Amino acid sequence: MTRLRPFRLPGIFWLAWLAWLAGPAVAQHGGASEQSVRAAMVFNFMKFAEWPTTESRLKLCVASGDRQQIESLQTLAGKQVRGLALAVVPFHPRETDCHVLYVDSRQRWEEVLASRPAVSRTLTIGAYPGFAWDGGMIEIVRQEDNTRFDVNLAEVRRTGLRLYPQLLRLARQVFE
Amino acid sequence: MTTGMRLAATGAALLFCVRPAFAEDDLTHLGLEALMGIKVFAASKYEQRQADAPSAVTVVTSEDIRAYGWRNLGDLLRAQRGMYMSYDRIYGYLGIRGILVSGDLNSRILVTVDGHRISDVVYEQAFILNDFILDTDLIERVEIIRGPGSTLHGATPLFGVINVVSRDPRRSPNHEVALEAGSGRWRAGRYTFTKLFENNASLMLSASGIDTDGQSLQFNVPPSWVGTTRGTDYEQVGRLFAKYENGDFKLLLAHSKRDKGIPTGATGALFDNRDNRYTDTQTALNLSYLWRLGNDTNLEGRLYTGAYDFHGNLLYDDTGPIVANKDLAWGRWQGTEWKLTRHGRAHTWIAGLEYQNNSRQDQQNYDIGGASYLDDRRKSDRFGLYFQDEWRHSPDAALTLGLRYDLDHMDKRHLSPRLAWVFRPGADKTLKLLASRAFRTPNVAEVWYAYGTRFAANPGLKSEHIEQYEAAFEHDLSPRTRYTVNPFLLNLHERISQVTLPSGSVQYQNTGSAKVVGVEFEVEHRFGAQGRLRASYSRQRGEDGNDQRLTDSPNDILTLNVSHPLVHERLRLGVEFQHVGPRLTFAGGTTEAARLLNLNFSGRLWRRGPEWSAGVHNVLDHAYSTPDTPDPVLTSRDRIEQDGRQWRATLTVPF
Repeated sequence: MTRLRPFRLPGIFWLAWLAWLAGPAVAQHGGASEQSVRAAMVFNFMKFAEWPTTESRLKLCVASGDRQQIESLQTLAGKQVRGLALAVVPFHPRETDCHVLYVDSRQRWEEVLASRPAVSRTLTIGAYPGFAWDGGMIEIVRQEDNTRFDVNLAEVRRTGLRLYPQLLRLARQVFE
Repeated sequence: MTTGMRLAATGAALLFCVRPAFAEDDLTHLGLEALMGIKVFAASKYEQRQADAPSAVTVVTSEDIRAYGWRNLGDLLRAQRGMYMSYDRIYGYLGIRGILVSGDLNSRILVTVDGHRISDVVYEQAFILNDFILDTDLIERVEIIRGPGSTLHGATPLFGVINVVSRDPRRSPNHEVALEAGSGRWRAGRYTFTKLFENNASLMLSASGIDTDGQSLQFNVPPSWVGTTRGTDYEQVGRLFAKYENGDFKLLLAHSKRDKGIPTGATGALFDNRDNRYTDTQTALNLSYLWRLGNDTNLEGRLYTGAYDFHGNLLYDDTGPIVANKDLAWGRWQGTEWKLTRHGRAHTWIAGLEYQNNSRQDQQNYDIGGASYLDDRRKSDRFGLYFQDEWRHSPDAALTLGLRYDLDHMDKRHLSPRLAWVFRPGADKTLKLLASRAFRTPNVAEVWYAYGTRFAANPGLKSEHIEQYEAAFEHDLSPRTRYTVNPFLLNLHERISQVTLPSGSVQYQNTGSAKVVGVEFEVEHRFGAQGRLRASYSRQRGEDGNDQRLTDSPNDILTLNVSHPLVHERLRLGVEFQHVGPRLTFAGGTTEAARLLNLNFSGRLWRRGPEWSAGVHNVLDHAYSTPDTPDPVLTSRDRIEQDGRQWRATLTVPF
C-alpha cells in the first residue's frame, strides 16, 4: 500500500470520495468472493515469475469445475503481464504449452499429471488443501477469512522456473 | 491540488462508479498484500470431484513399485495399511480389515484394470500375484478405495475396490526391454512398444513372460504327503497387452496365460509329481468413450467382453492305478456400462446403468479314460442401476447419498445404499463419515461345483450382505506430514465359506455372521529432497456369530516403508517392514506372527537411461506360515509355509 503523504485538506477530501466510490469494487458484503481474490492472486503470481523472452504471449490453462472461478479467471484474458498478452483457456489433455496452470481439486490435478510430461516449465497454482504436498508450486490457502499462499520452492527449482524474491517474502510458508 | 488534477480525480472517480458494470470483482489492480488483506465471504466452495466419496482413497504410484521392488500386485497390496495376504502356493488371497475368508478366491474385492472388471464369471476370482493380467511394470498407479463399493459397482466389492491404472503412454519410451533374474531360477523378460501420434493418439503394445522353478518344499501330512518335493512349484506366465487411446476414446486388450505346478497335494493329488498343474487363461477387451456434453456434463459409455479358461490337471492314485483328473471351467461374458456425471454449483450427480450377459459359465470334471463327475453348464445375466448425489450444502461440507438397484445373476433383487459426509473444519483437516451396505451373490462355482465325494453343490446358497460404518480423519500437520485415523465397524451376514460335511465332502454354506471392529492409523512424511516414509498400524478384532474369533484374522498389522535416494537418482534404497499378528486356522491352531523385512536398491544410470533394481525379500529369512483352506483329503493340514529369503534383480533398457 502507498504511504500516506501529507495532503492539504481539499486533497484528502477528494481522496476520501475516490475511496468511497471505489468501495463497491472491493467491499461487497464486507469482503470479496473467494474466486475473484484467487483470480487476482493468480494474476499477481504471473507477474512475479520469469518468462522466456522468446514468448510473445502467455497461456493460462484452467482445470476447474467451478463456474464462478472460471469466469473470474477469464476476466484476466487480454491483460498484460510484463508486456506479454495473456490468453485464458480451459485445460485439456491436448494442451501441451500452458505457461501457467490453475487447478482446484486433487482429482483434476491427477488428471493433469497423467497428461503432462514429467518435467515441464509450467507454473502450477492450486487452490485445494494439499496441493503443495502433491507436487504443486503455489498453493492458495484459505486461512479463516483471509487468503494466503504457500510456495513449494523445491518443485519450482526442479523445473527450472524462477520466481522473484518479492513473491517468496509474501508467502506464508516456503518449502525447499 | 490544481483544478486539472481535481477534474482528473473526478473523472477517475466516475470511472470507478462505472467500473463494476464492466468487470465485477476484478481485483487485479490490487497487489498481493492488499489481496491477502481482503476478507473473503463464504462463496460456494470450489468443486471437489470425489465421485466415489470414499472413506479413504490410497493411491500407490509406480515410483513406489520401483523403490520397493514389489514383484506383483500382491506385494504392493500387503504393504498397505490394514491389508495382509495368504498364499497356498497356487493363488494369493487378500485380507482387508481383518477378513480373509477360507476358500475365497478374492471374490469379495473388486479388482479393475482401467475400470474393466477382471474377475471371471465362474469363480469371480481376482488374481493378484503373477497371475494378474497386467505386467507389474505396466502399472502406472493403483487406487485403493476401502469399504463396500456396491453402490457404484454392484455385486462383489464388499471390502474394497482396487483400480489398477495402466501405464501412461506419454511417459513410456518408444521401445523398452526388461530382463529379470532371481531366486528359484526366476527368469522374466518383457518388450514394450509405444507410439505417440501427431494428434495425441497413442498405441502401446507389450509382451512379457515369466519362467521359474519355484521352491523345494517340505511337507508332513501322513500317510502319502511326507518329504521334500522339488520341481513342482514351477510357474510359467505369458502376457500380452495392447492399449490404444485417441482423445476420449480408449481401447484395452489384454491376455494372459499361467501354468502353475501344484506342489501341495491339494485335494489328495499325488505327492511330488510335476504333472499336477493349474492353467488360468484370461482375456479382456474393453472399449470406452467419453462424451463431453457442455461444461458440466460427461457421459461415459463402455462396451466390454471377457473370457476365462481354467484347466486343472491333477493325478490321483487312491483307487490303485494312477488316474489323471481334469477339472475345467469356461467363462464368457459381455457387457456394457453407461455413466452420466453432472456437476452443478452445489451438487454433483452421477447416474449409471450396467448390464452383463454371462454367456458361458461351464464347469466340468472327469478322469481321463474314466468317469465324468461334473458337467454343469450355465448362462445368466445381471443388471444394475445406480444414482448418487454429492450435495455441497455448506462451504466446508458435503453430503453424499447413493443408491443402487441390482438384479443379480441368480435373479435376486438387491438395494445398496450409501451415505457419506465430508467435512473440512480447516484447510488442513478432513473428516469423513461413511455408512454403506453391499452384497455378494454366490458365484457359479460356490453353488454348483460338485465332484464325487470331495465336493458337494449347494443350490440353496444365499447372498452375503455387509454393512460398514467408518470415520476417517486426515490431518496435514504440514505439507510434508500427514496422518490419518480410521476407525471402522463391519457386519457381514450370511457369510459363505467352505465347510466339511460329516461325509467328508467340502461344501460352501452360509455360515452365519461375522463382525469386525477396528481402527487404522497411518502417518506419511516427506523428508530431505526426495525421501518418503509411510508407517501404519491397524488393530482389529474379528468375531463370528458365536463370539468366536474369526479364522485368518490377525489382531494387528504394522507396516513401515521408507524410501530415500543415496546418490541422487543413481541409487535409491527402499526398506520395508511388515508385521502381521498371529492368525487362527480352521483347525483351531494359530500361525506365528509374520515379520518381513524387505530391502531394495534401485536406480537409473543416467537421465532417461536404463533402470536397474536389486532386492531381497524376507532378508531375515523369517519362517512363517499362512492359514490354509480346509482340504477334503489332507484334512489335518491347516497352514502353508511361506517363502524364506528371495532375491530379484531387474534391468530395464529404453531405446
